[in-house]
Formats: sequence, C-alpha cells, structure tokens
Amino acid sequence: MKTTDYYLLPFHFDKFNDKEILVNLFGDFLIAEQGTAEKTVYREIMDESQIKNLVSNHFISQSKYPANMDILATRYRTKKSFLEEFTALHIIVVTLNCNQACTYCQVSSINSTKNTCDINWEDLKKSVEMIFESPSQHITIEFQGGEPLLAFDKVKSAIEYAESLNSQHQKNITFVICSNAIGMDEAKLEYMKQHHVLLSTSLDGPEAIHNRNRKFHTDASHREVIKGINLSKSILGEENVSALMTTTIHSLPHPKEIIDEYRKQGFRNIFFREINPFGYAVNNRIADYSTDDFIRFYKEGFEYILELNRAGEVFIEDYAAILLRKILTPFSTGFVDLQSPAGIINSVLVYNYDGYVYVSDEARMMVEKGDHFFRIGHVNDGLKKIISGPKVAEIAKHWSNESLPGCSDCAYQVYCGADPVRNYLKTGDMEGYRPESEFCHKNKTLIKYLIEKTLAPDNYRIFQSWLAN
Amino acid sequence: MIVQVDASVYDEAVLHKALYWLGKDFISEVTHLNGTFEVKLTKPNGEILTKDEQHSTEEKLRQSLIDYKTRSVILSETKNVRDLIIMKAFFHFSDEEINFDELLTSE
Amino acid sequence: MERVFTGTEISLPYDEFVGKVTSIDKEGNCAILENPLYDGKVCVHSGETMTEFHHQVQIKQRTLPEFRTGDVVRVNKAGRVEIHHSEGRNDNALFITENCNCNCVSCPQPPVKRRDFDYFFWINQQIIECLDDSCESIGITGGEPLLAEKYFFHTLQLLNDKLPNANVQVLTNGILLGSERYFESLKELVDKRYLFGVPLYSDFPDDHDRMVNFKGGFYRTMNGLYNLATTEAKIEIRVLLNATTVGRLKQLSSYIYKNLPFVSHVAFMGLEGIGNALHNWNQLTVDYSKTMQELEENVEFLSNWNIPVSIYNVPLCNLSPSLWPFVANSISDWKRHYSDECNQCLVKENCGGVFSTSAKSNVKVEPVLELTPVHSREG
Repeated sequence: MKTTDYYLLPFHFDKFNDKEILVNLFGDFLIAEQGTAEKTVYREIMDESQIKNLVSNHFISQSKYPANMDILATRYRTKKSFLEEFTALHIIVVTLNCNQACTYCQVSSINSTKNTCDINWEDLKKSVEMIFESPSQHITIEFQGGEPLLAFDKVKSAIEYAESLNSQHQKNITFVICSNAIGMDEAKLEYMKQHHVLLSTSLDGPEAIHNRNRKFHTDASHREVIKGINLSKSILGEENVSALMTTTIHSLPHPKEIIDEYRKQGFRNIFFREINPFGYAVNNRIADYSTDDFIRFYKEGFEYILELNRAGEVFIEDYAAILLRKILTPFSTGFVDLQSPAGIINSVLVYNYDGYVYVSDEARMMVEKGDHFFRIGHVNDGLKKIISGPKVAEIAKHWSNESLPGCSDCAYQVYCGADPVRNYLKTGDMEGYRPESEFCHKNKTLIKYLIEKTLAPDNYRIFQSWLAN
Repeated sequence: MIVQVDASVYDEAVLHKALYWLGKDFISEVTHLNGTFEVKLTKPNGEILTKDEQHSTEEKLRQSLIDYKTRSVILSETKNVRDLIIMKAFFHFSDEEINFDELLTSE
Repeated sequence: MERVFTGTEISLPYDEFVGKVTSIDKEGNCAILENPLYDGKVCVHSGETMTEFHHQVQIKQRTLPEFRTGDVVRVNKAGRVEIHHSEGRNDNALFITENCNCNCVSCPQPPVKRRDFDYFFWINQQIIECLDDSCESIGITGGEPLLAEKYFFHTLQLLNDKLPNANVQVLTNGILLGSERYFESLKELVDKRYLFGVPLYSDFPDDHDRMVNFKGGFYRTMNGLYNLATTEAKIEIRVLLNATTVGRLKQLSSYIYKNLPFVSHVAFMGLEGIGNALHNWNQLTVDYSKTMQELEENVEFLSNWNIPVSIYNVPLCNLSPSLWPFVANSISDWKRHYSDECNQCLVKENCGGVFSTSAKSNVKVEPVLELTPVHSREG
C-alpha cells in the first residue's frame, strides 16, 4: 500500500505533553510525535509501520468505502451500547425528611418528627408504573431522600408493587437504598435481604473528617454510620453494601487517611467524588476549593492506591475505573455523568416526592431552591408523552458533546460526556461555556493523567485487574 | 493587541474555534478586510499586555489556527463516512432499507 | 491367498470400505470391521487365510497396524489401511477436501486442485456412521473445508444427528464465512459445541493477505468472524509465530482484544517445517530466544483481559517457565517426537514434543535439568 494512498476516518487529536494523542471514534488512541495528525491529513507520513498502525487502529482506510464497515459500525454501536435499552436507572425520592444535617446537602433537611415532604401513595404507585414503561430489560430502582429509611413503609410498598408488576414484565430488577445507615435495624435489613435490596451509604473518611462533613445530632455520626454499615454487611453480605464519599475542604489534606479508613472498614474500592458547589455547600463554605485543589487531592490519593495495588492489594478507585473502561476497552459504561448523549433521561429518570419527573438527581434538588427548569412532566403523564414532549426535545439539542462548542473537536470527547444540568446551573444555559467549565477542566486533566498512567506496563496490569471481568 | 490572520488560509469557522478558547482571558473583535481577518484582543479589565505575553498569546493563537485547520480538513473529508458508520451502527433499529454503497458514492 | 473384497452383498464406490473394528484375534493377525450400513463383515488380515469370512482384505504391511476395538478404519482393495478415528487420539478429524482457496506461505500441506468433495464426503459419511456417543470430540479439516459447501453442510448435519453431544472443531481460513449467502446456510447448523479455529497473521490487512495469498482475505475473514459471533459457536484465533507476525505481535494482540473481544481462545503456534513452510523457511523462521519477551508480554496481555491463551507446537525447553502454564499438547500423536536427550528432561511429561515431520526446525531441544522457582510478577 502506498503511503499516500488512503482515506481518512474520523478522528480527533491534541497535544499530549511533548507528544500528540490521536483518538478515533471508538476511543482507540495512538501516542505519536507532535505533528502526526497534520502529517496524516496531508499524506506526509513516511514511516511504513506508522501507516500500518493508523490502518489497524481505524484512523485511515485503504478504500473510500471502508472494507471493514461492519467492524467500524459494531465498534461504534458498542461504545454507545448504553443507549440500547433506554433508561435503566430510576430514582424515587421517597421523602425529604432526614436525621442528619450534612454540610453539603442540597435538599432541605427536616427534623424527623415532621411528616411533610413524603411522596404520597398515589404518586409512588404511578412512579413504579412509569418505571415499567421503560423498554430497558435491566432496571435499577434506587430509593433516595432525605433519608429513605424514615419512609420505609413507602419503600417497601414500592418494592412489592414493582415485584408484582414484574411478574408480568420479567425484567431484571435491582433495588438500591441510598441511606446514611444510621436508622438501620435488623428488621429493615431482614426485609432488604429477603428482597435482594442493596445498600449504598456515605462514608467521607475517618471520624474527624466524616463528622465535620456530616452532622448527626449527637456529633456521633461516624460511629453510628460504622455501626450501621457493619450491621448491614453482616445481614446483607459484604458485597451488597457500598459506600460513597464526598470531598470537602476538610477532606483535601487527607486522601490517604480517607482511603485507609475505607480499607479499615473492609471496602475494596472508593469513589473520589468532587462536591457539587450548590445547595448548603455554598453557605457552609466547605466547597471552597478549586478544581485544581481537587485534582491535587485526587492524584495524591490515586498514587497511594497504585502503591497498594503494586504491593498486591486490589483496591480500586471507581472514577478512574470508569474512565479506564472507556480508554482501554472497547466497551461502554453505565455511569450517567459521563455519557454522550447525556445520561439524563437516556440513562436516568427521577421521580420526586412532589410527584413530578426530573432528568437527574441534581435536577430535582434544584427545586428546593425554587428552580424547576428540568422538570419534564408528572408521574400521571405517562412516559411516552414526557419523552416526546417539548421540554425533552429542547434538552436533547444540548445533550451530545459531539455537537457542543469546545467539545466537538476535543480529543477526549469519546471518554467524556455532556452535562446540560451542570451547564445550566453554572451559566444559565444548557450549552455551557467550555473555557470556564470545571467539569471540562477536571475531566480533561484526569483523562490525560490516566492515559499517561496506562503507558507504564505495571500500571496497565493493575488496570486490567480492575476491569477484566 | 492585534493579530492579522490570512483569510485565504483560515476560514471564519476555524478562526472562531481558535478564538473560543481565548475567550476565557480575552475579549476578541474580528474585522474582515481585504482577505485578512484583523483580530483585536483586549483583556476584560483593560490591562495592557507585556511584550512577552503578547508574543506567547499570538503563538498560541497561531498554533491553534493550524490545529483547527487540520481538524476542519478531517471533518470535511470524513463527514460522509462518519454519517455512514453511525447509520450502520443503529441501522438494525430502523425499518428502512438503506443502500450504503449508494450513499457513499453520492457526494 | 487371493484377496477378495467386493462380493455381491457389499458393493462399494471407490473400492474402499470403512468400518469399526469390532474384534481382533488373539495373535493380532486379523481384525473384523463392521459398518451399520452394510450386512456382513470385512476381515482385514496380514496373510493368514480366514476362510469363514467372505470378504477379506490382505493388508500391505507385514503385521496389522495397532488397531484397537472401536477404531474406525478405512481399507481399500489394494490393502492400504488408514485409521480414521481412535479413542484417546488427539487429532481425530474428518478430512473434507484437499482443495483450498488460499495458498499460505506457511502451509504444511499445500492444496491440490481436484474435484474430491464427493469422495471425502462418502468416506466421512461412513466414518460418522461407525461412531457413537463415546466420541466426545471431533475435528473438521482440509484444505479449506468450507469449499465443499453443500457436502460440508451435509457432513455437519450428519454429525449433528449422529453425535448430538460431541464437540466439533472446524479449522478454516474463515474467508467464506464472510459471505452473507454462505453464512445464511451455515448458521443453522452450528451451536455452542462448535469451535472455529481461524488464523490471523497480522493486524495490517495487506500483511495478512500476503501470508495467505488471497487479496482481501483479511477483511473477508474478519467479516466471517463477526458473522460467527452472532451464533453460539466459539472462536479460536490461531497466530503462527513467524518472522512477519512476531514483528507486530503487540499490535495484533491489541487488535484482537479491541475488535474481537468475543473470541474464546487465542493460540500462538510454532512452525512445522514441511510443505510451503519448508519451501519458505528463511522468510518464516524465528529465533524463539530473541522473541521471548514479545511472546511473554502478549500472552500476558490477552490472558489478563480474560481471553484464554495457549501455545501450540513449541517444546517447553524453548519457552521461558512463565509461559509453561499456557503450553498445550497440540502435536498429533502420530507425528509427535522426543529426542533421546529428552529422557533426562525434568518436564518431559508436560511437554508436547516437536514435529517429527519438520525437515527444518527453529527449535533447539535442550533438556531441562534444573527447575528454578518461577518468580511471579508484582507480588
């Protein structure tokens, strides 16, 4: 094959340290000398083995209509396979009542003696019915709040109604309760075990950090949470209890201690989550850190995690695992925050205690500040009507990063995603402004960081152990 | 500062994409005159740039223009095949019969 | 004694008889063959007269080859005997045709252009007839078996009917699988018992095409693999370790992972120095000691992505100990060979030996006299 005789396939490129990275439509990447993309476009590549690499990695084609069109289409379909079945994650907000006052809470925490802000029975029933309108064969129903355990009767009712509807639909259903585990008791756990309900809880780190972030009325939050976690693990089984952390200004100096706390509590993975700079976080000033601060925190924690893995302990950082799955494998992920078309609506729907349907968790939390921009309908409307409605059509114009300014030419587009809700919260419109987007800055930085890590064989082996299933 | 950009080499779309990223630090005004884009960059607070800052900004802009030009060539050369890959990827969801060969040859 | 073969009760095309060995006399001078399709038995003997059998064949050799009861044997009028199927052998296969649509640079058995589909089909039909449930696994080889088209399909149908529980391994270049029309007919016949072994020589299409001598072969084979992936049949990618392929082994392994993640197995194969391979030896041969790192890295790469890997046709003494767990006993029993010095080797039991058929070899046999502990990586 002559080194000038080829056709281009779609790809992106960018400077990568002192080299250049080329990324194709499916996330296959090549690191090459600076100027390689330009040379490829202008047919100036001299090195025969580089031409071979460009062909076999789907950057160029030897014929105008690619002879491997089936492969290209399959690879693309695989990268977008999260779209196949439409919405799989359904969140029901059963109540806003809570027994904690977390410093970064985005929903009002109401004393547990009051009984307002519970979803009403009719709306709960309609929510479950709407969930079954989704064509997805795999459904996750996640109960959130406030604190869902304070409305456990409603949770049980929803689970049982879903199970009865499912006898007809025969879908694969996973139930999850997002709880601080403080109100957990054996009776509730036995019920959860019987119905195969998973527990997702919050652990921000060792006592000092956790208690500063997540206040319980006796300042014993951490102790109570650990008690709850251990009780839950003993009844539900270790693998059915997971924990999430939120990074606040108190967390920043202590990534290793937070990781060690997770290890101490028997967890084998951690998700370094940046705080959402909305809600109470603003008042409490615990979100007063920059994206670069978070990145520093993240890298320090990640290096420590790599050390642990090198010493033989498999400990996974979840955000990295999600990105690495996109970078190193031909497969897609179900992580709704990093998808294009966006995870909102396509992968997740939220049925709020107010009976209305929202596009994401963050979207329903905006309501507490009086903004229901992302309210797309009511549980009485029926899913089809909502999805084909004008609101969703409007959102759809901004939910693919392939066509967003700043994203459409980005080398890391296929690893990243679109977040119209965050854009709206930050700038007032769903398009967002990439040069000042923290979402962009964080993801670009971490993606580049991780790609660089994969170039070392011992890191690559570690990542394979995280991803190969 | 003012930067002259040859409009016969870089079209408007390429220029705007390159300027998009500078928008964080600069306000840009573009005038098109006699085959040249005159790009005026000012700091929002009115601050005057040092010679070094001017130099590095212009260099960044020029490199950016080259890159976006390359990208625009990729875009135009691959528009058809990209559409085809995407169509073929989701074809089994559609009810229509599509002749892909025909689609590619029709420009 | 006169050789008698066809009588009025048995009339055979091709003057050949295929039957199962149902008994062998104490002295080993005579074996009785029977075939469910025919009445009467055929006695194969080494010279002694057996007057009670109407149909007899005297074999060419002095003594009977090592028949065992249950073996499926073909004997022709001239006395040539071939054992087609024997329990416990590692290469029981149905040979479909000597024709091929490729002419691989490394082919051990260069193709022949002759109309032979019906001949081999007849033999295979007889063989299948003589097999029973004790046959757990059978191969399908050639040439290129798929060329026989309707004879091939019919063979699979017969196999599926007679041996519904046996595993079937089809060796093919996969090119015809890339044809939608061809695949339409094939897909109804294959299920999860089937494994298709398909060679890939490179991630770069032109390099692969040059090795198989078929322009466009790579893309057709890839298409074929994608077609197969829509069935329950398993796929094994066979990578011949030769000078062209080892230079891009990393790229090929990566290509397999990214574009063929559904394959059930990858086999890295050593050269057999006969046929085309012998003729093109200088072009093909590799020094294993120089490419060991590549081999280790890529076996590990695929294996860590949970794609099972094996190494075929390379003796243990030519591989670093970290690769020994991946070595399979792959050389056909009849051509597996050990040198005298191998008797001293500590790991002879686990070694697949070398090809007795190789007129040229890139393997340096050296008995392993000391076992050093294998250091695992990274703890």
